[in-house]
Amino acid sequence: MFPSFFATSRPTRSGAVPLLAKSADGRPVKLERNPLHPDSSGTDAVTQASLLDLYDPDRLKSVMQGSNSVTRQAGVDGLRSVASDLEKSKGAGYAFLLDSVQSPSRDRLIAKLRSKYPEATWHHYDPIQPALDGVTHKAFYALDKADIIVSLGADFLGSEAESTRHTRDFARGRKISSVDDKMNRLYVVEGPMTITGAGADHRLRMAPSQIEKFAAFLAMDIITDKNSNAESVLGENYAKMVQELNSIKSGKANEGASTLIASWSSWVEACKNDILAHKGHVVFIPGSSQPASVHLMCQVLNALLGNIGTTVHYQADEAHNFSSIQLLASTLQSSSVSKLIMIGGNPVYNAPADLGWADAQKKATVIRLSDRLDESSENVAWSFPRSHFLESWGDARTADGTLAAVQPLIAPLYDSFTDLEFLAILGGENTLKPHDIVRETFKIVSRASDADSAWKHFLHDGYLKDSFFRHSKPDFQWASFISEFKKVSTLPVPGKDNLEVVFLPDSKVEDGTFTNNGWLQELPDPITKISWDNVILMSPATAQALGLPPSNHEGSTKYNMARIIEVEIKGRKNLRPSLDSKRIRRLHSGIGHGIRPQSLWPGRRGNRVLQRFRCPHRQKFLH
Amino acid sequence: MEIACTQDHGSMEGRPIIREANIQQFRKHPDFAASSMGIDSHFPHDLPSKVYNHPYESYEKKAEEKQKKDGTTLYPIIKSSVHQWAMTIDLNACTGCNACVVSCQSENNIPIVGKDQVRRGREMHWLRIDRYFSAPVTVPEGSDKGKIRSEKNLPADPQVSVQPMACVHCENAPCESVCPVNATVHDEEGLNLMVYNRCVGTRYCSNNCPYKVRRFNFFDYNLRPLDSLYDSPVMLDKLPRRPTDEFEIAKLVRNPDVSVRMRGVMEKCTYCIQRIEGAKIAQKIKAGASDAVEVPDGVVRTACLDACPAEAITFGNKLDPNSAVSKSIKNPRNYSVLGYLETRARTTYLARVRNPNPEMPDYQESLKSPYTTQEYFKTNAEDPFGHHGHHGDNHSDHGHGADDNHAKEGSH
Repeated sequence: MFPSFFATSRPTRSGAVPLLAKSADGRPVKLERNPLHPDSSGTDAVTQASLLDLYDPDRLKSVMQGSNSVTRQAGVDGLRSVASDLEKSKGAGYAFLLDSVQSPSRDRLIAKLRSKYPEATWHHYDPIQPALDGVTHKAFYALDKADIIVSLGADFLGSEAESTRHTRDFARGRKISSVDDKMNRLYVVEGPMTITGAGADHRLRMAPSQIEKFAAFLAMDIITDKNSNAESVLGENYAKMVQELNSIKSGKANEGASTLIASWSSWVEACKNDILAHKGHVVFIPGSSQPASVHLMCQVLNALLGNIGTTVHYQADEAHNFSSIQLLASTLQSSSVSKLIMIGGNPVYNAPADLGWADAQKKATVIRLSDRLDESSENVAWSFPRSHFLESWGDARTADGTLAAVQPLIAPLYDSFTDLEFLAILGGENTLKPHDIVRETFKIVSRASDADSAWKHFLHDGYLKDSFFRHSKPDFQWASFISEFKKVSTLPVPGKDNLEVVFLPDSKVEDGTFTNNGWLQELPDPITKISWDNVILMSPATAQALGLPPSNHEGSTKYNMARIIEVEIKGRKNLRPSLDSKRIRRLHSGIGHGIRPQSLWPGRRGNRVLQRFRCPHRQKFLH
Repeated sequence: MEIACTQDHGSMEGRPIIREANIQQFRKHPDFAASSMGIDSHFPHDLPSKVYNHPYESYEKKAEEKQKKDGTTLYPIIKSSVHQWAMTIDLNACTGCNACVVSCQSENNIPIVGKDQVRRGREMHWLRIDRYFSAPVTVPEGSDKGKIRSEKNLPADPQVSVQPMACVHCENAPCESVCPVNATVHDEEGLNLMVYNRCVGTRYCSNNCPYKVRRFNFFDYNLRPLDSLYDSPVMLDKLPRRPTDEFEIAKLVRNPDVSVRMRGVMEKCTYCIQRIEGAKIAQKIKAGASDAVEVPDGVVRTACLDACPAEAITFGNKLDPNSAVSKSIKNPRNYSVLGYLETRARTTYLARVRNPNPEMPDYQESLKSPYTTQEYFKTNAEDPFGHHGHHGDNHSDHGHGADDNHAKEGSH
């Protein structure tokens, strides 16, 4: 039988990757980009490797009531009784915790549930892309139109959302073939070396906490330059804006800030002149881990320089008004919520240590939809297996807003539930089949007169034509920007005695979601080339300053030996291997690889196979 | 504690593996990479004698002679006049994101070998991405020429350069001439093939490969749990094993178009031959009785190319002057890695051009070059861009870039 190809897409945190899946003998064997999709931009390593997750023998295979596996029907009945309880109490005492998925159908069902159970609270947690208070607009970059790209702590080619589209557009601006060709220029200000820093024409290394000061410095220099027209754009807010930026720049009362700022001045001066010479074709990109102030400064600069509409588009963030996980943790501790329904995520593993999430979660009866038994599965009342996207009906939106199809390449391998099914049962819906739910959403979104043929086209092409967002000019409220800037309290300048620890999303396993994926684990990190392991990286200068003996990473007879060092953060101790790295100045650590800040190497329940089958040596590493 | 790391050494030590220029230098010398960097830029492009046999040329000459003499020949004309495959990789576009590496692993059924084996240098990725750090040359002239930096003196602000590296499908392939069992041979379309059934695992080919892109399957990675690699077959049955159904599930991920290799066999990039053959068959069906069997440009998309978000990889038929890859080969930035070995690699690279702002404090006023190029100056005592100050005595008439015809000057 010849292989055939079906259009589908992999939902991601920020959108979706449009795909063409190769099907052989009725199962998916390879994922390719969907060439028909208007915003198709290749794939990334995680998308390619997501195929292996489908066939992972460690997936949760059946519904678990406590530690007993039960039939699917028993699971459905269990959910139905939760639904009737929800209906009786109007949701009082219930909390929902969701991960990030951009799916119109899921959003529609959630909206229904919220109106049906108004007393329930709704929370959202994403360890990689935290929601920022005060940032009302989302950015959509068109880097192929940019002559100058300024990244303020943004690894937009690597770990940030939409990196494939950014990579495509960035690369298009650099493929020169003759002496007359124009090429874009990339300025990067960052802490640890990323692949964006590796691609930079100019890279300025600084602690991520200090980027805020740097951004204010650059912003102030540009705003006060007479060529920027800032006064006419900002109007009466001009003076106040300059004042606030100046105060952030000077680091308020931070010790050592003035020396640091002085060291940047020639960099900022030359960079500013270059930026002003390319007005309208510049783009400022803030890192997702940077505070709201840096995001707002980038919005101010992009607006002033007339970049909006060419290199960047802004769009009001239609957040669903989800509350934070911090609030949920405190309501759990105070026992005002006693039932917790979790869809995706693994907060015991990756929530901030300060929350004490593991304890908080124990106080509630937890019903969880997850693809495997993991750290957060302990003491859970019900665990429902979550379907992989390659065995699900669903929908998604790519970052440009285009509606994308998620269609199954194989019948579910196990007794799993899609998010849509799970929510529909909880909402007491009549339509329970994910296929029908998606069709219903499609009917609403497409408004097609001939629904059947439009649906067929949708499935064939993998996307709905012309469903992308129309960008309009954002209405920035400068006064609210200024009040946000007022709230900023800048972070101290790190040094030998107050090291800054940076937790990064892992280039392969992200926030730990892909820990069990052997393709990703074995993949060398793009910068360190370390495979399987996770280490604390520090620069040789920092190691020397701390009095650590030189690591024999390079140049000695025994390669690849790392020291074990003990790190104590806010009273929590952790033993970790460390390597001197050429790439960074301060300590940083990936959050993905089996490292939990809460305790020291806990036993794992879910990753039995990871230890025995895919990664036998992990066992040694753990014990 | 031991760490698994696939690239211990981070410096090119001044060798022109990745060739880089700043845009100002590129504008003056657009073909700097091929014509003024590396030993190969100094010698004639048609060497009278070659280290390795060119399978096409040696056979073809004999075949032609025989044909001329008596009208028949036992030597087959092995060079296809329809397809000759080639690839280029644009180092200006590549960011090193790894999408190609996993795509290749997925397409070609490349096994996972586990941390212990990676630590022993036995990773099986057909496509790897090399990453090099470079530092500005600050050593005073004349002192310690070859040694750019020491272990104790690691640069605080290195530049990073990345380069995807897989089998480059040499026309004069060093691996082919050392294989005692003819397991690695050329096909008529320029592919360097691995015949798994012939391979007896001498690993001579891998030792002779200057690009180090061949991977040897030391154990039955595809058949055994990774913690039983070293156990004898007798022991295997006695060890606790995963349930068979779990193993069966994990097998489903394999691509049925590519053979799953056994232990003791060499393997490497095939240019996704299964996709090439698929495209050729489809085209032949379409062509019917006509002779329009040439696969149209852009139809064969290798797994790495398809995954690449940067569109850095171009693949196609170099016999078609209008194909994307033919155009890419004509890009002035195009060069061959280790070209001086006359391997005539079918995969060539487009040199990286950086676009620094001359007003910036970190722009090197003295050398105005990317750090790797500075390291190259220092090690080779020659400046490909014709600036003064770094010429060695014997090279004073070299290195003037595009304008000079190095081919006339003979080899060193």
